[in-house]
Amino acid sequence: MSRQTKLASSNHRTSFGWPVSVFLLTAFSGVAQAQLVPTEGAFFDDLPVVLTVSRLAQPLSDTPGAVTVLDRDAIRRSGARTLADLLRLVPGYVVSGYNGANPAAFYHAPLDEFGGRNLVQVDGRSLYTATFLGGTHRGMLTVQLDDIERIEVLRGSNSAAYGANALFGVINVVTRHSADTLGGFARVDAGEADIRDVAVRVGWGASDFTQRLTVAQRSDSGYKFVNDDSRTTHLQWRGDLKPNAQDELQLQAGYTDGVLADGVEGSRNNAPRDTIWKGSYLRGVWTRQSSAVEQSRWSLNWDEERVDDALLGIALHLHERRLQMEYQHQNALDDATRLVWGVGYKHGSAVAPLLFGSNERISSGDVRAFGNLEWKLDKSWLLNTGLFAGNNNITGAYAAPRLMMNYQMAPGHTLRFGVSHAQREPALFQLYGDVKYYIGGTLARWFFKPNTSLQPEQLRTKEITYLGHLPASSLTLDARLYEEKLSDQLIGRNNGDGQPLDYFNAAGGTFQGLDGQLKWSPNPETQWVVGHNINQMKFDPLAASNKVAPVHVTSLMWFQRLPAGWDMSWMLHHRSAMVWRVRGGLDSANRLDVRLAKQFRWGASQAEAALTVLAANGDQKEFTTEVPSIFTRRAFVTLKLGF
Amino acid sequence: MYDQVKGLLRPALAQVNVGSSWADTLTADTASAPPNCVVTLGVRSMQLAAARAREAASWANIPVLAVLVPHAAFKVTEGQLPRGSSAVWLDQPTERYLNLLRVAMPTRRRVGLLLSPSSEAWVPRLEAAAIQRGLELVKATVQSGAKDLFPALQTVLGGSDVLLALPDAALYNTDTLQNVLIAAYRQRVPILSYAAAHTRAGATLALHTPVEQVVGQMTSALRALVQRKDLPDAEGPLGFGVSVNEQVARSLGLELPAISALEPALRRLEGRT
Repeated sequence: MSRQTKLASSNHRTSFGWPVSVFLLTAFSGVAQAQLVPTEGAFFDDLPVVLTVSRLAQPLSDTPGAVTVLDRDAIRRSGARTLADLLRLVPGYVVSGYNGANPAAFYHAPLDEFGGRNLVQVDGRSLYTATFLGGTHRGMLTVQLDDIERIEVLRGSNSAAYGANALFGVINVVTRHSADTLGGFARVDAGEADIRDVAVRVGWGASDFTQRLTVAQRSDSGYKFVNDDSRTTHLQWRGDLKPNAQDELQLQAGYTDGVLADGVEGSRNNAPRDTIWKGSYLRGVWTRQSSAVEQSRWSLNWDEERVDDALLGIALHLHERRLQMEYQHQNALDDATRLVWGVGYKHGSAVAPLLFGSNERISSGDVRAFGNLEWKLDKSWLLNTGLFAGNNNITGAYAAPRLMMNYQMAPGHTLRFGVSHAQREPALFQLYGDVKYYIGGTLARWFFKPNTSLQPEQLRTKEITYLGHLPASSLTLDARLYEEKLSDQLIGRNNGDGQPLDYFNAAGGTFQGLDGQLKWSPNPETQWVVGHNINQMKFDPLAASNKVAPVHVTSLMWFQRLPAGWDMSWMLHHRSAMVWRVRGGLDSANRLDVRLAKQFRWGASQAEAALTVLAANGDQKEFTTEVPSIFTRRAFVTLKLGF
Repeated sequence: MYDQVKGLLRPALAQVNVGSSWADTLTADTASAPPNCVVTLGVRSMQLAAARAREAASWANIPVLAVLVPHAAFKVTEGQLPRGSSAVWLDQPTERYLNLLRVAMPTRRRVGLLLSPSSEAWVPRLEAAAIQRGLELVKATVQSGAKDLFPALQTVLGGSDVLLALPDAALYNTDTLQNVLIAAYRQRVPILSYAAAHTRAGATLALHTPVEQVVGQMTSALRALVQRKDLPDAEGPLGFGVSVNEQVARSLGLELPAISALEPALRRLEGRT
């Protein structure tokens, strides 16, 4: 810093008058703009409030139920290749599939094999298919894990917010905004069990209009001794427009072509074959932030699926279409109250001559309205009341209410008490299925008959959940104590020799238990996660058909960041004994998955190489199959490049 | 802000034994009797004073005390100011941002940082400070303008637990800040910024220089001028303010201590180092 040199004259006083005079210049700078020389405006100018109340996500302590969040890091470290595999990380979830090509995830117990009692949504678009037996497992195959920002799993029914079919919970997949995936990305997986995956993604655009395109293929040979090789090919596009500060438009389109082997060697009714599954979708969502606390959203979803399969040795062609439209409005009624409400229309239809005994299009329509009021009674008490009600043109009117009270016992500790009532509508096949086998024009065998008097399944839930953070957030505990009573359970019924099967509403049963997860980070590089579910399944023997869900499902996981970009994951999953399709039941099982990865720079790109070994401790008997089916230990290498 | 500054000036000047006059502009016949010192508030004032010093011989030796200016702006104009000039710049010392991080979010160790060609010069000092505090810097340089900003932001957000926004006008301005705030929130990464206005807009935390602090230091400098006939060396702010956006912090699942606890904690930490 330049200092004034002493003047020749040593008498400084003469250079200053008395008193010292000072001139102040307050020519303040104009509004700060992008420029190389900053002005004080950069430090003091006001900005419009960008993260308004209506844009902010609910903190977990305010959610009306227990939520497990899987972020990008958790997804990466898990080594999962499909969405179903990833759900192993959620306490209370059991993951398997009736064969390796059709993985599915179930909360507490696989009451069905198609994930029909969960709702899976991708950016608000439901993956639930209501034609055959109702399920989400095929839709889940279309989800590209590298394009996911976050998965929020609401453990426990959420029909009050999401409508029918969110029976045992909602799996909400949020994909990455296209502005967050600019540039290129490529991924390759290769290894044992014929694992061959490849994905390429390109994102482009300016901040007010960005897009991305993902092309991917996934294939492997599934379980041993089972005809379940699979190959799915995907093309997905997402575009995000921001025409002005208040409005945002999100558009998505996609197509998946899957070849899923099925059937059992030597069986006549279930002969080996390739099931061809093709799905396409379109989605548009317009969100408008009318003010800091008010937001409106219009959404339109269209899905189409075509399945070429065989049922009982006869060729099956199924063509399903789904349309869903919804308007949702969110506003703060006052400082302590927030209301979300909406209306919608859902229409589903299918043409499947073999299933319905007709070439006609079978359809069902549903008009609905929903609302949720969040009321902060005082500093510690938050009440959530919700209702989802509608009218289905086949099964009639329905209502799914929920009441949840959140109590913040102390900063960082929340207790929630709630009751809810949820529904699951019968699938089109269960209502109208009519499967007849003709030989030369005459009816040889009537396999399945319709039952249009079917009522939706009902689930009544009582729960107490707890969420706690201990000092410095290095320890988090999330627990759920529940009693879930399922009634009017839809199950297949054998009506006697030579008589067609049909579905009926059976008594159902109760699940009682406790599930939860403890996360501990003794230091920022280390994370321990322990998840556990103790579950008692008390079902009517007819409804249970001798199935016994595992009483204990436990996960013990260790994630460790190592120096120089290395990290490792150790995931141990334990399941206690159970009885399922496999005759004689299955003993308790432990499965260890291990992953070692290194992140590094390759030229200008970011890269990651990983070695994942699934079932590292040995082959696993899978529980939902009839033939001895084995999930073999498999190692595969992954290489990811972002540029 | 400007009105607030003007409001603070009069009582401040009353504390110092100086005669003062002020204006919003410099005209040809402003203060025909040259003062002993010119205090400029804001960058434009500083630039006007520098221009006047160049043009008018009588002003060429009058020391300028530039306050309310960013450090980068002062550095550019420094050489044009008369000898004996000084400044009180707005930028908080980089170490203090990292100290605030340790106090407010001790478990967040990976600090994301966007750099431009001009701010790359800060890196060595930041790296040293980060290592000392057990923090890791995740950096990306934005070569030129808005087009490169987003890809660089993605690189940084992907690998960091918190985004540190330092006053770099090439990166953060009214156009880009909105997108940075939204993108960081989408990926649940909190932002520690340098302006209180940013926390109102959505940044989780800010370490800022309150106007009162600047005026107070201006007053001390003038006092020194009266006593010693010299302005003190140019310096940054001695004090600081912390602002928090509680709603955003809650939404991100962060439990930040209250401001009333953060500020003393930060002072204690600085007292120790």
